[in-house]
Amino acid sequence: MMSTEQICTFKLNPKFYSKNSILTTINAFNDLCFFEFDQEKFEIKIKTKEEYDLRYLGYEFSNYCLSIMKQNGV
Amino acid sequence: MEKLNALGNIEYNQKEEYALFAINPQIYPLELVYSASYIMIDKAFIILDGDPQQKILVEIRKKKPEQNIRDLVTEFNEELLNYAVYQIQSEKNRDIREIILQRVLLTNAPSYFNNAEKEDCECEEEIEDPEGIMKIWEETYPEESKKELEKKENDVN
Repeated sequence: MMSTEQICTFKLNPKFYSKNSILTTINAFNDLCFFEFDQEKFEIKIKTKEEYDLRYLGYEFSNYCLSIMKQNGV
Repeated sequence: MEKLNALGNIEYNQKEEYALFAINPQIYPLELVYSASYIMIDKAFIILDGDPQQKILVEIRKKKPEQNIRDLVTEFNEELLNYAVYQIQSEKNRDIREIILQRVLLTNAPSYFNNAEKEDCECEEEIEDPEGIMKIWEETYPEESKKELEKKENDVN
């Protein structure tokens, strides 16, 4: 699902993750990385501003999305 | 992929060190999966995939190298069960809970109960006395009422 290249690209399933939760997460992670979000394919591209493990950043991203979904009372 | 249980719905990828948990949404609805996942996000990386109507796939990855993926899977399964039982019980107790909550909220307006008690209690009913005949016993006969009071106290002792 995720690559360990300098740019990490991954998809989240729109049936489980809402657009709003992804946008909120992007907003929260904005200080750490650059983001591109393809709203049709639900594809997220991450490029870090400093040296981080991109793979784990992607996983943290999906965990954060999940917490937003829960907070929004899914 | 190695199967971790006899049912075959939990698979473990040893090479990449992650487990794939397939959940039947007829047994565990999506809300339960979200709740269980939310509990686990401090300990593991959780990614949801699949179809919420047919089959929910949960990818579980460890956060720290010393963690055991089997333990994480077991914990996730226990959380699912926990929430399922909680949901069933809370559905059973819904009526009682609502009654208790109503009672709690009503006690914020004690006047409601004071009025109700006054209406129910016959002894405290106000008796009309348009000609002013009624007198207070203690004020009209202070010595006698004092004696009666003392007598009562002695009887009690």
